[in-house]
Amino acid sequence: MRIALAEMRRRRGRWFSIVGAVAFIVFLVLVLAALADGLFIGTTGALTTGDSDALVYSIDGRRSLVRSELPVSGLSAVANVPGVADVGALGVLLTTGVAGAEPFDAAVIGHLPGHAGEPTQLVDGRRPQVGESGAVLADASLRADGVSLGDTVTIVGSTQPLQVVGFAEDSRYLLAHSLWVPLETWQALRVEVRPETARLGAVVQAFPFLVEEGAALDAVSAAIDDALTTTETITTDEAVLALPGVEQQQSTFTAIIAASFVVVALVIALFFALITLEKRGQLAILKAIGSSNALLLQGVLIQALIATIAGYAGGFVLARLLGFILPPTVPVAFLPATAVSLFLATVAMGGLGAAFSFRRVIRIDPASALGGEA
Amino acid sequence: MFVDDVTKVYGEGRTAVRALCHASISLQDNEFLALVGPSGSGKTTLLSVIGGLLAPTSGVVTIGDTTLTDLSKKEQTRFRANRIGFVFQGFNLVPFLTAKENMTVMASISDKPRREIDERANQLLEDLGLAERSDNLPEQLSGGERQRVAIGRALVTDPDLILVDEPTASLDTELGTQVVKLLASEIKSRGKAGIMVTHDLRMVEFTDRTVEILDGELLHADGSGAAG
Repeated sequence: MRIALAEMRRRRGRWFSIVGAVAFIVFLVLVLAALADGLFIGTTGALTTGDSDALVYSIDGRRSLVRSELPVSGLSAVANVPGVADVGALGVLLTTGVAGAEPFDAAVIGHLPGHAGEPTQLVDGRRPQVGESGAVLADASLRADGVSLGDTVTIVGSTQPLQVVGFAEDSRYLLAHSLWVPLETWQALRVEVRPETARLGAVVQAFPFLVEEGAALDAVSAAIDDALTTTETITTDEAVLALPGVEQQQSTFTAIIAASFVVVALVIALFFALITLEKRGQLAILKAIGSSNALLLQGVLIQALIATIAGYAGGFVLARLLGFILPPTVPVAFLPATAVSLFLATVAMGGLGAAFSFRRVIRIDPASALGGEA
Repeated sequence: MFVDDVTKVYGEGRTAVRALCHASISLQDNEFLALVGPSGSGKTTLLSVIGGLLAPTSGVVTIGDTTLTDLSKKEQTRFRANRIGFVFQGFNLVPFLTAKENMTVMASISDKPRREIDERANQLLEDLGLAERSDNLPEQLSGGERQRVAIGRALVTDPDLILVDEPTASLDTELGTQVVKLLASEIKSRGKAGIMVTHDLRMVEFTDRTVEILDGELLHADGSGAAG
């Protein structure tokens, strides 16, 4: 280990180049991952922010929040199914909101205050109360547009002003700013903005619910579908993936990130292949004087780990710096869990890349140290 | 050290090449032997077999109380680390380690305690006139200084046997002579056994005995009782 560390300390130029290469790839991967996470949160926040185990959709809605339609009367039927701890309601109206003079894409989401599906990550103010008409809990992203607590936002086509009483984090829907209002307010707004929906009566689009502790979610879901007969109950995770484009978005980013990690492994493998070739004579000498293969391989592994960890640190700093200068309209989210998993993946790829040199090191013949071959 | 009836054949059948042919030789403590012969005569092969770097096709090598040829590869590696010192052709120092580190590197390789290696390295640096150069990298040392560091590395584990491969190959006559004289003096003063492969016949005067090898056969193994 001392030899490996001394080599890195005294031949900094060479190691800076590999650390720089890894840092650059890690930077790209972290930015891609931040974009993927930002897009995912921005697209799915309305479903992931609420505390729910599963959602009830209408069968003909084919797992789509906007296509699904359920009569509000179904709420009590769901609540009565054994194993259901709490049930709420969700209705979504994609429209245009106006704050001051600035229009913005808005997802007006009707919900039952105090029940499943309500945003959990309150960052400022309070939640609307039951029956509090005109009160809105806005997504915190609206603050970047200059909206503050107590401000009024309006919906194009509606005369009812909505007063912001609180801000919730990560609660957007399909990248639109979410405006969470009590269910009755949402129904009134919907009829006002989309008069053609008046004929549908009192409908919502999904019933998010929580199961009692110890209850089997599958069994409760099946019981709900049996009781309501025209519903399809799916887990919240399934509902998230069923949102338009989410699965494709995730798989695309995952593929790009995976390919980038292969590049990390290849860069490390190529680097160590080259330096192993260059140090062939030196390694033969060390073997001749009694170095075991294990000792030499340990040195290669330590160097690879240090190079990848330093590269990761460099890439992380660069990515965070970029995060600070990106405009708020770019949906990036640097999540600690993602950073940790990418760190572990980077280190694993570094180890894997170094492992490609192991065979070369093992195959060096110590006898080649004699006769002037080394 | 005893080399008993060692034969080394490379390849098989019609392509087989006999590099060593029934070679036998013995060496006592406090004895420095020169192994001379033209290129391709088998000097390096014999040195490799004695150093446990190459397995003979037949025959036995014994160093002290250990039959080297009975050991596994792993055991031979460990044996080399603890009981054999090597001085290679050229300088062959680790380029990014200082003079002292090139000696103390043996602490990571051998089973000897680091403190003992460290103390011996300091003493050797003193003895070899390198005390002022201990923190210098090989590129900052002269040719003679590098070779002295290489000698120090070979001696730092206090081995039983020192194997020296063409020590004068990359040195001018004056420096080559100095280095071989120093080697002979260090080996003899420390009571070690040493074998030096060389093609430079001017250097044999500093050794106790000369053995000539030609086409894999030992021609003048005086004192060993075995020739060719």
